Amino acid sequence: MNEDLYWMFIDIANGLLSGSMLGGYYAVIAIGLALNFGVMRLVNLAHGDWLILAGYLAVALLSVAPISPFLTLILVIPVMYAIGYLIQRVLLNRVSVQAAERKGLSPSFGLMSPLLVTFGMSIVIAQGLLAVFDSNAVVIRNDLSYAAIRLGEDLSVSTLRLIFFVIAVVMLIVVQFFLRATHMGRAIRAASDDPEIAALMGMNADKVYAVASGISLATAGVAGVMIGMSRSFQPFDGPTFLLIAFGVVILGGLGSMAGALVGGLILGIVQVLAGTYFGPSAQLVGGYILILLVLAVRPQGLFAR
Amino acid sequence: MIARIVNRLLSGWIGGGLLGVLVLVLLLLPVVLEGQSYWLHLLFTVFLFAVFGHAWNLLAGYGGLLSFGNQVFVGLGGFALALVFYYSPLDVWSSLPFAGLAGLLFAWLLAIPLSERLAGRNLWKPIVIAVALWIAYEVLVFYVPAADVFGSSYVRRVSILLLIFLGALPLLRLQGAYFAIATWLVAESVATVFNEWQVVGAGGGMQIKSDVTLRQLYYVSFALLVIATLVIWRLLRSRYGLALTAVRDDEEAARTVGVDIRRMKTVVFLLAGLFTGLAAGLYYMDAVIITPPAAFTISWSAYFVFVVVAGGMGTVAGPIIGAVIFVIIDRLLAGYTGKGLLVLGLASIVLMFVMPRGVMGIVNWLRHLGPDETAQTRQRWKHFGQVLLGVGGRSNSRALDTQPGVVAAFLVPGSPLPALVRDNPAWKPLIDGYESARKALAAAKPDVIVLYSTQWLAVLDQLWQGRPRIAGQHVDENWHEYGAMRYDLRIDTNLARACVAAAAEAGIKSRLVDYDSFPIDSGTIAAMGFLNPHKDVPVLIAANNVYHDFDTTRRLGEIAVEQAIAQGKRVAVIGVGGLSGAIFREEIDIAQDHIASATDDTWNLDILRLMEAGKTEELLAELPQFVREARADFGMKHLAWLLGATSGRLGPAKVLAYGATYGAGAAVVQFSVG
Repeated sequence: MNEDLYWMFIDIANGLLSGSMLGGYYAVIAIGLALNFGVMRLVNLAHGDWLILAGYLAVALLSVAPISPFLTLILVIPVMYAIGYLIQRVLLNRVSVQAAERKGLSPSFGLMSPLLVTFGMSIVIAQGLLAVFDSNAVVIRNDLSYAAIRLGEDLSVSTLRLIFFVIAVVMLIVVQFFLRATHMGRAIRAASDDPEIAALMGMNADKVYAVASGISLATAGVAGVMIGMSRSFQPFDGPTFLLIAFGVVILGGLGSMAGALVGGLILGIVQVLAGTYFGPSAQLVGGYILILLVLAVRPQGLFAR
Repeated sequence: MIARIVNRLLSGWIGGGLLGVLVLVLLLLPVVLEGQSYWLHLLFTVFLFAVFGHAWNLLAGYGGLLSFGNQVFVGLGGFALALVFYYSPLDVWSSLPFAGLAGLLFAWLLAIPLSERLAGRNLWKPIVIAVALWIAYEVLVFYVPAADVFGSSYVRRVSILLLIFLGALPLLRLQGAYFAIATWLVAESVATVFNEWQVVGAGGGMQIKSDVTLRQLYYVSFALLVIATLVIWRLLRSRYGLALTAVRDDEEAARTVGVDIRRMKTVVFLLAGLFTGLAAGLYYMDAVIITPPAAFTISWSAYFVFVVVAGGMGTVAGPIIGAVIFVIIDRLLAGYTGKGLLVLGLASIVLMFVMPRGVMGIVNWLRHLGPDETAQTRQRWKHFGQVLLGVGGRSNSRALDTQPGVVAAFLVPGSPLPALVRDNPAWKPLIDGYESARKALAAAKPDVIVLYSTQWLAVLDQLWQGRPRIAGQHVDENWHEYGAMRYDLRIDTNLARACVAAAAEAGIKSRLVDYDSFPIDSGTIAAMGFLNPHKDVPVLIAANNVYHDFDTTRRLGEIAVEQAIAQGKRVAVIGVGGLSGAIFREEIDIAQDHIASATDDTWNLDILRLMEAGKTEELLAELPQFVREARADFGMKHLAWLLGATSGRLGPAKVLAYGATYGAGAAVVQFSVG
């Protein structure tokens, strides 16, 4: 009897612990999406595919130069920032409610067009990756994959996941600091609160959006390398991560940075617990049901203002 | 010219004849193409994707519900067919209805929380019943393991829990991106269950080995397409269709005018489920093998989006045209490059930028290259000819008729009362005045009417009507007891667009309104009903932004006429609005209608006298006092419009009628121009 009770506690403790660690990783995946939505009211359906693209960038880099996977970020982050900046400037600034209005299209169409364009982008990225690489799963090799820190006889935490968790917290603090304390960050927040007034104050909203989108993809770059280090991935895996990111953002409230961490933790813990008690395939469906529930009951997110 | 040809081709007996020939050719094709299964198969694919597109278009294009989860109907329809065919003695054709039924039932499940009876708190009852049934079933399975159709306790519990969840969550209430993601999540959840379910072959899938021939599939899918097209066409022409577009364009507004939004969404959702399920059944009869990862993949949504966007979202013909384009790109082009989806993805991004309204957008644009455009072209040729022959335009008396410029200007009442009660003797003079104005307007042969109505109130921007044709009924906010006013207006959208751009350039924030059934104000309806009853002349309608002052309005009038002249048009200017104002303080017998006070009367007559004398300077000097003391309609901004439109050269006027509309001053005035 005592034995049973002990294992029950260990199961729950393990679930909470690894769930939280998973949550940190989920938060990094979702920051970019949250930023994108928070600032530009743009739901980027290609977000998952950008993550995978970043993962492949790291893989390509490592095949040329055998360095530490963490060092690939030095190249991946600026490249992803540049892509984000350009995509926003060239494509996405042209598909907004305002842009649709200028073309004399109905507002409902204006709401749809960014979704349709980013959806198209998602297909193009996945197919492009398939054309350049192939459909075989790849992984970013590293020494930490199987390392764990033991906290007790039957309780341990993956070193890699712990590092990710720390990175997640640091990234969220940095992004939050950037948005609150720097000139550009304030401009981004102003533009997200009221683009018209911001324009009146002499801000170039197009440029502000492009910077925000660049930062969003830079965080996606970090997340992509993380994904590659913790599991194998394929060109078509983008949508799976988009759904995770979206789930995190829905749980935490669209556009909220702190919400992303809380949302990530909740989703991670629920998934791990569902997996522990109902088998591995319940992990996915448990997460989906949780997100659908929150969507139906509180679509603005659990922690939205 | 082009517009006329396109219109001829698309309507009347020529259009009908062409359509009939097309259907006949498609019906005879299998006989002609005996043995050439490649082309038949391509057409079969076109038919199916047109049906898929119809379903998606019904949601996105008409319901405003952007779905990324229609693949759930594909998977359920396909697996329903496979299950019934495999486990029951029915043949494959008798199994097909189950594919549609599966889609329909699942759509119904998702729509349950929207229904009237289950709104809000009543939902717990069906949930309790469902949970009770579930427990009973678990007990049954415990004693009789054979009763478990799910094969394993995990799949059983997850499926039932998921069904209860989906039946209870009001997912259809979500909008925009939320709805898109929610439908996608639903499809993914169902897919995870199918991946585990032994009965459907777990992840390995099932086979539908039947003896159907391509020719059978061809005819059945063609029939399905024809039926789906007819059903949707009928639906859109019914009351439902109008309500549906209203919901899409503005859900809040639609709710306030009493459209039952839940019912509308349920109807389109059920139809989408049914059609997608049936088409999926046909698709898998041909494909033979069905696996959960392939049947529930998000790629289906990518196809549907492409089909509808390429053809033209929100049009009946759009998905059919889109399906043709889709098959050409996916099967023919991709056959050479091997990169079907890549080409498709790129094409859909490019399409969104180059022709966001798809092929049908271009067709509609061609159709609306209205007479105004033709007139403009004719004008240019005439001018060209004059230059060539060395004949001065002005010396040619016939050419005078076609010289661009302001050819007529009128001030007409803003009140709709004379239009609503035409047999009231008190308003007879006004009605006669309108009639004289109509004749004068027709004689001036304008190419366009530029109208400003004080009754169309705008707050945010300067609004310009931009829908090519707008028709319907309007009940005046104050005079609803006198019934509805019908209207049918032809708008000069080219001029409206030019005005939006020019006004924005002049620093007046402008916006085009291009919505179905956007409310038209009573003043405009009355003026157009009297002056342009057969809509011979297209019209430009500008709104009265309550924050714009007299001078801004004057500038707007100027801009409108500048743009019309730039387009080579002869312009009739109309300002809609009354004279002295009146507050409904006391009941007035409309048969004895009179100006509210003697002071108002004096003021009105004074102003009209200055107009008749053509003393614009004095008129402008007196205006502020008149506006203040006689509470004149919206600061007489309708006069500002006329002044601007004639660049301040408002000639001596002829007062065609002066009278009262429920105490307020009203006059029909014709100004001489030039």
